[in-house]
Amino acid sequence: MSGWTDVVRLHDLDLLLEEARAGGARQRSLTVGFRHDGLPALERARAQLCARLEPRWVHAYERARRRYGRAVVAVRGGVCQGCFITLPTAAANADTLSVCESCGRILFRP
Amino acid sequence: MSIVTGPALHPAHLIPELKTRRRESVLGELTRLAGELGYVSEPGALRATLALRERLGSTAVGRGVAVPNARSLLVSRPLLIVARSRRGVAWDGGEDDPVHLVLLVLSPAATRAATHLERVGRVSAAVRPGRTRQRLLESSSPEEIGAVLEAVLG
Repeated sequence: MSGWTDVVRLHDLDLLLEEARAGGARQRSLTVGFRHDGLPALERARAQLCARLEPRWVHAYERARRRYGRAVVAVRGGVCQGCFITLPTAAANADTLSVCESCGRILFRP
Repeated sequence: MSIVTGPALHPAHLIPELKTRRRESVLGELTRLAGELGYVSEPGALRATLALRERLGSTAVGRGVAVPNARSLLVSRPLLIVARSRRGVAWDGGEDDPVHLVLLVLSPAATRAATHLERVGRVSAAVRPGRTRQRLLESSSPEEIGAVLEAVLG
């Protein structure tokens, strides 16, 4: 898979890990009827995913995540949906990974 | 708008009979449909996210039902897709307790975790009564399946 796909997967995996680690998560899962015994497997999957990504993207991701909670944001109408700045045309239309020069979040173009 | 289904449940959001019988390929059928409907920008990547969700713990909830689910950047709007398999899907690898009803619950990444989990819980609870499951499995058209779900999910 391409770099941006892995970054999006990392983002979605972190959403899932947040849910799984939250207080009462196990009980909520059991109430719905799900099993909840795979947290170590998810943590291993995260480590494997990070190992596949170029270190600079992992660094950018972790830095933005520490700062904002969510490290990846969509670009809609040429606007970063994290800080709502209008991106330069080249950045708004690029089909490769890039970082918002204003806020530092990784940009995702759905 | 229902908290569970988003916009009204549409017949196009139903797969009357799944073509495949293994969990990974069923997730592929579901995410492909979500992509065709315009709710998901990259179905293959979303399938991988759903597969990771299964590693946390199987989403098979017993009685022949599975509720795979995800919050994702790849999802533009809340979506519920319902799929049936009369032959049954070997959800957890074995042939014991095959899954006959799969309800895929998707939420955009910006959705609060509590809201997403509430949707998942409501879907799971709605199909717990044996009578509802029976009606869903015996309905002969997508419209009938949609009507049963609308009645229980409101």
